[in-house]
Amino acid sequence: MPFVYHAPRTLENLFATLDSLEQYSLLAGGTDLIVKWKEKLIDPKAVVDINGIAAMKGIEECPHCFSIGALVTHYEITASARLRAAATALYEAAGEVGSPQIRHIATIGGNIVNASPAADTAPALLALNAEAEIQSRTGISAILVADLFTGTGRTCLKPGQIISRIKVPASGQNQGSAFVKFGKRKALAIAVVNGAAWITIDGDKIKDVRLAMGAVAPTPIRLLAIEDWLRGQTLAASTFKTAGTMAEKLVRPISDIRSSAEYRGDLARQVVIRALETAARRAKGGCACG
Amino acid sequence: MSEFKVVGQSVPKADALDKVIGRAKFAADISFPGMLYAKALRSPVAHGILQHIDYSAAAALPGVAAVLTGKDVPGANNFGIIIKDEPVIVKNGEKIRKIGDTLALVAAENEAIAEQALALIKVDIEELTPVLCPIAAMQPDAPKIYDKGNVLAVRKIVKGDTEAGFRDSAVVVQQQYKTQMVEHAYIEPEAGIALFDGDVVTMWVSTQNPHYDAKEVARNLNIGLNKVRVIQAATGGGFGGKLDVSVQVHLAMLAVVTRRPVRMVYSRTESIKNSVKRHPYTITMKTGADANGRLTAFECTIIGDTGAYASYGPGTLTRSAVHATGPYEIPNVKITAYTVYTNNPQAGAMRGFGVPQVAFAHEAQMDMLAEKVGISPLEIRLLNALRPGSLTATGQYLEQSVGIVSTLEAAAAKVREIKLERRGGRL
Amino acid sequence: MDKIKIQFVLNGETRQVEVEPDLLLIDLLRERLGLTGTKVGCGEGDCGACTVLLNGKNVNSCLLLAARVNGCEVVTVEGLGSYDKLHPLQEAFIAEGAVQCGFCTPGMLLSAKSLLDVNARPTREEIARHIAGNLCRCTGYTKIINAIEKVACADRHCACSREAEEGR
Repeated sequence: MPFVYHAPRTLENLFATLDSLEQYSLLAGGTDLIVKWKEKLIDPKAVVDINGIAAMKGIEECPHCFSIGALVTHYEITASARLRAAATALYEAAGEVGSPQIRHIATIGGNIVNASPAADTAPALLALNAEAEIQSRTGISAILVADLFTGTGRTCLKPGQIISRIKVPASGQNQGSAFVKFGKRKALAIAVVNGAAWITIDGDKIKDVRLAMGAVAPTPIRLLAIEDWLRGQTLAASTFKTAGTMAEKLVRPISDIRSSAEYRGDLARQVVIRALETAARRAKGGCACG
Repeated sequence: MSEFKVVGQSVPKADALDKVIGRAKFAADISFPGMLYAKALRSPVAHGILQHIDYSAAAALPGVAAVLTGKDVPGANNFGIIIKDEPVIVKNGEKIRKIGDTLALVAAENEAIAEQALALIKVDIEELTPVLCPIAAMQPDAPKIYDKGNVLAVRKIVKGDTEAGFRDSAVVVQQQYKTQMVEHAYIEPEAGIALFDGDVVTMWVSTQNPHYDAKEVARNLNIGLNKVRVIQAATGGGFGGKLDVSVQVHLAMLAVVTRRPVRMVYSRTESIKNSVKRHPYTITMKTGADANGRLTAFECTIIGDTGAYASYGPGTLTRSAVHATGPYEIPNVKITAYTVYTNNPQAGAMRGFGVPQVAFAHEAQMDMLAEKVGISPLEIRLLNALRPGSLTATGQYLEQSVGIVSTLEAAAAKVREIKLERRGGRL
Repeated sequence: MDKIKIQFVLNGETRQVEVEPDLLLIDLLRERLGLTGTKVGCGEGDCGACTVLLNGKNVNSCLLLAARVNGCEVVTVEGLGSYDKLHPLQEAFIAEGAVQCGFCTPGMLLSAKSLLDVNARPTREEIARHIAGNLCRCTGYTKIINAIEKVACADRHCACSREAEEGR
């Protein structure tokens, strides 16, 4: 059915518009929204196009972190040399989303709020310990992206709340991150399993680590138990292999059109091994993106 | 460089210029003033009987020019390339055999109105148990999709004495193979546009088969073939899947009734739901060889799921039977190929036409036999490949031009060359 | 339903149109403006037949509300070249046999252009990656990549890596 279209140009106008509407859908890239609308899975009375809001755009570098506007496209992330160097997992994940056409339009904010368990940027943001800035008419607060998801397709955002920007800590000396995806094709494939690792090394030991996976649970998840075990371990192939085996045992994936649960378990092991190995190599190499 | 003007020369494709400019007219690109947009109401059930259809609300909707049901088909109300078993529109009291069978047609001023009209049509369907497995469909107590039974065609090929052949075999491999349904997914969904000038129906259609289309339009509209003109528009891929009728008869009926140009364009979903597929096969294959690997006997049963309608099914299964032995000479052969109706999407022509399915089986058999005999996959193939002088399973004596041995040898030489390169020139 | 006035540059020409909020760019182009070179293959952003350039970048016009192109620049295959003056990519697609059924061709050409505009010397892998959102169901990818590479090579007046590969 037809809908009313609003295109506020400022956050103030946006919140005033949202207040005036009983029901609405926010339109950023629209690469998921329009498909759902065409398939009649949603029937919004109003579509609020937020693409004109400058405060939600651009990649800014602050001390030790990046502030990425929710409207930043996946393409913009893949075009950022700084993100490539200091938020490598996110840079890699953004390059795996959809196709060039999708990446030119689809936004990181949209990829998050869709709350797909298989969203490619989600494991990267979880591993990098990114925070989402939640804004509403009454104010602004921050929440870990990891705490945003409440279920498949659901977030803790309330009506009138939006994600305006995403804060991603920058990796520095002795730190590295990596993203790994298994899809059925190299492009336009929803992940069968994806995952990301962030690691800090101290000599030949793992000083700190974060591991996240997608498509193995109703939401993207952190593998906290494996992280705990990994801290203090020696950087070695056998360490990563053990972590992989732990991941296979830990995750409880489902069988669906893309894969059986058993195969997802297998892939979970591989994703963890490869993500850890690559992140560790980058941490050691000095150059985070190597 | 060839010494000829045309043969051996690279010639620009005749329509490439129009296609790179964006001027080539595919059916959905053609429009006429006053054009109507057509949509079909499709069956949501795989097997049933259409008890009643009420389209009064749809017909009364402003902007709707026509609603047609089974009773409005002037002619035969059936079509099919080999067997005329598919209805143009299912009539009241008649069978629905697959999800997607046409129950009604709407022509309206725009697509949105046509869709609204479809939603206003009320249908009452008595659901029957669907038969979704071809092997179950062959059982005597299976629900009958057609009164004459679910087995549409049986093809047999017998050469020599397989019993004796297997007795003389040193090794035998017996396996069952299953292949899946495949959608062509040509990038251009089915589309067409039709005009009626009071005498002749003219249409531009995305099709591979305009002459057949014209005959089916004439039969179902009950008009002469000279009153139907089907023009193949630029066609965005077919791969065999656009040999069957899609929008043609529907468009012709609507154009005649409304006396206005009518265009019908399938969505991707509609295309996948309603187009023919590659036949899914269940193949049982038993192959015997002597201690040297020379083939002695071959038995094969092929069950092809042709879905709700025959389309090219009997032709496809015949081709599979003929090619079941692959490019190999076998003295004793027994092949049976069944074309079976189910309530699945209908299967028809697709690149390879029944051969890819059996090739998957006979080549796997050859690899397993080679392993049992202890020779290489290449050796067993060269040993048994058809040559001038060979007699095929169908009794054809091959006198000349049999390319499989030279092809295998050329391929093997290339493999050796690549292996050599990978080892950096070391043997 | 209130219509929205938009102004945008289409194939180099400023256009002002009134659109319904739910009108998609693909329908604006094909049904209102008669530019049928842009195709609908899947309607969901998977096949790339509807690819146009939005501010120079390849996008799926089937996923964009027409209202969103207000103030933007849109290029369709009709704006790429003409019978009298073909774009080098169009010439290369014809010469290299990169056109089969032709339904993916307009989108493929525009994706290729958006690549060469930012990367005049792509590798074959970069080309493949950039046209990954454009399906050719005739599966003529090799010749399509050859054609794009040919244009890239012509630009830099160098020996083509494909010719080197093939030992020509």
